[in-house]
Amino acid sequence: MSLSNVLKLARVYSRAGRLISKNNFRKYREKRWEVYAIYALAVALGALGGGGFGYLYTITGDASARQMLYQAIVGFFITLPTLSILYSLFMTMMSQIRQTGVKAQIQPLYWFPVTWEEHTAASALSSTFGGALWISIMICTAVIAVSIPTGLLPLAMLTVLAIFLSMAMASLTMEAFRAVLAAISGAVLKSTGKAAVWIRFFVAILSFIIIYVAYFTAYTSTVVVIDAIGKGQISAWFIPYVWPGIALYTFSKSMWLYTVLLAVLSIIFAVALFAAAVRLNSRYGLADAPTISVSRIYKPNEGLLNKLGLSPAESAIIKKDFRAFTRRSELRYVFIMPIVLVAAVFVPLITGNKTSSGGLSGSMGTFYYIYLAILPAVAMSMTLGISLVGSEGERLWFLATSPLTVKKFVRAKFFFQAILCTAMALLFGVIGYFLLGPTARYAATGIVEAVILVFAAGMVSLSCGIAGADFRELPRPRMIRTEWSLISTVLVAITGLCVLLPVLAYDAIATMGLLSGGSVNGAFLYLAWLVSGAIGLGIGYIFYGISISKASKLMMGLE
Amino acid sequence: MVTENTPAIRLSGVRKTYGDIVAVEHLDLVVGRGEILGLLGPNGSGKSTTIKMMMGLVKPTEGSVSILGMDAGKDPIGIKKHIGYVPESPRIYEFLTALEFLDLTGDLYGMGPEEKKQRIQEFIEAFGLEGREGDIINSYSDGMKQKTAIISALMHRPQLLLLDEPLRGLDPKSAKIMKDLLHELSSQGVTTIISTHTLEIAQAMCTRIAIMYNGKLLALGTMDQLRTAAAMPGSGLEDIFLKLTGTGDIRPVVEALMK
Repeated sequence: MSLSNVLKLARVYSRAGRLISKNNFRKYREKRWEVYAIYALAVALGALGGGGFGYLYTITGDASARQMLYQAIVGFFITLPTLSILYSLFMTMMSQIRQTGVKAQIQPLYWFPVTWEEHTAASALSSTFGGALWISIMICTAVIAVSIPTGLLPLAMLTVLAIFLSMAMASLTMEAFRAVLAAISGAVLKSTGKAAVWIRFFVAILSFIIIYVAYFTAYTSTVVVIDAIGKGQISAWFIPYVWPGIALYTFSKSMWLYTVLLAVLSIIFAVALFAAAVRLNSRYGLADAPTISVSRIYKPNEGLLNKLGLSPAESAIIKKDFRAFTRRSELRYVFIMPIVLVAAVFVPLITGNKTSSGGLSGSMGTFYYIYLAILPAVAMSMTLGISLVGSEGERLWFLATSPLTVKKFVRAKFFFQAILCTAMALLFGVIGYFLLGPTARYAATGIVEAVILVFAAGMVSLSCGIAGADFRELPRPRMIRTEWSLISTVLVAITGLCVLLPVLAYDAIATMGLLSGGSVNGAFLYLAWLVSGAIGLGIGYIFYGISISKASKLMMGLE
Repeated sequence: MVTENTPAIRLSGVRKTYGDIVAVEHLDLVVGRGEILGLLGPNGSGKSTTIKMMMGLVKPTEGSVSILGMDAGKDPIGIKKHIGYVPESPRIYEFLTALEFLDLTGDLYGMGPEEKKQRIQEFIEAFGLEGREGDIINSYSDGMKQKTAIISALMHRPQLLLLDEPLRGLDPKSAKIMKDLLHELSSQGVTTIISTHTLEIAQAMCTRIAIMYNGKLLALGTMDQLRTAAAMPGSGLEDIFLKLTGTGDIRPVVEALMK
């Protein structure tokens, strides 16, 4: 294995990783100082933090307080290798997810004289660059800085080595995991035909749910995690990933034989991980386009969409878009937004914030029900609206050269998001009704307002999606220009406020009436629905006109 | 009044500029029904812009474009119904199967279910895609993607074919089918414009050749007419093309590269 090759490849891979986050992929020129400045900042922050803590230690006069601080620092050092495995795994996993939508090839160029060992080492090395390396450098600098006044330099040096060994373990694990995933998904996609489309769809949603639940759980209990690592890693000695941390513990207790044994075992484990990653990469590492066999029997039929009154051309585009959103990996992010919105609120809600009876109080339940019924569907409607046209990418020529009127094009895009998001609003409304138990009137209000908003906000965001469509597909599909994404968010928020205003006004009046001992005629709620609907319709109509105008310009300006 | 004698394409004094850049300069071109016209020219000569103006995708800065007797600017949708287009690189919906993509094409061009089914099956068999038509296009080779794009352009029985490098990536059998098909369609009155850099194909297939350079039409005619215009009797299209476009003196370049 040539170290020179590894370093050259690692530079290429890490550069590719950085490039995918840039807007202008083709013209992007990297400024080297910018790349390394972030690490210099990490050193500065680490030195500042560690030095500050060290200074605190030196000015502490009380012996028992100094002893307590000393023990706390040693305890923290011991947890660092295991902690670094956790954040390195998380960072490299996020980096892998970020790369799923990348069209530019970031994979081994198999015709180059590069061995799989070199590729695997370079890939693992490059995946630690960025967030994981930044945090590690900051922690290591802090560890060294704090160790000088505390007299813990030998332990600190070993801690630094252990942190980097742990990082290597994490990135090699992810490297092996990536190859295994490629093998499994490839096998699934090649063998299960039409089911593969749905498997991919549900697995994508499930993965994001798991990641975000894990993220929010970790976020709310970071201190608990660190504490648990300190206490738990000795008892979990049989897990090789904690061996560097235990080696530090034995070193701090002057158990030299155990220290040497665990250090050697840790290195052997890292080498074994490398060997496994190399083997898996050589077997499954090359990206291979999956052959999904959807149907061999040709069945032209009228379909439900045609029966709903949509023209064959409109329903054809809706069908095409539905297939795109269930098959194109880079479009998965559209489904993240509603999941995040639900997870962000309901995970902390489930873990705490409950009433003594275990359920939510009446007004809280109603609030969360309205939130659940409206927000995920509207968020998805907005995300779909801004990305539907841009997601056509370089294939827009096909629609531009087809005998498709601009009106049909806009209507097809609109009804696709409207159908999908209305279904989602109904689904979340029904789930929320059974979970949170609002009154029938609130339940109906939530669903009615959600549907009105889906249509109005969908049209608003679609017009922004057309006006700000970004068809660049390298290194990853852009779909919408950033400024238009922001404009869409603001406009949808205003639309939401306008549409909900009559119902909010009714609620305010009803509440005030209740407080003053009176009551408000319930029929006014239905009037509020009607006014909401009229406002939504008006906004939708205005933005439909804007969409038609923008789409006409878009098709004509196709170069 | 559109009759059978109305030219398939009539470009009159067409000029297209992008700011200071002149993409097409006062182009006059008439292409009759059933003709196969080769549109040749170096990169950046204005071929793609000309084809896009024929499709109604780009509005000319000056002049008029009439396709099958219809004004390209006034009724682009009506015109598109009668055009089959194959772009230079087949950027088609790779997440669809060939069957799904062709089904989409049929729906967009207003074909009935039975006709659509029949045409798709005929073309799939003719181009040797049977057995793979249910696979995602992403898994196809470049040649298979090209075949899918060609079928999509032909299946709705267009009156005008605009083909940009149509034989690229095709295997010999499919290329032969395509050539024979174009000649057969030509005899039925279907007009074809082929934009290509492969001059042998243009010489073998086209009834007339148009050579563009720097946005201008340098020469237009049959092979014999081009030989006369270039004063190169008995020469092939490659030599005529290089002479007319002033790119013929390539020996010094080759010698420099061989050093």
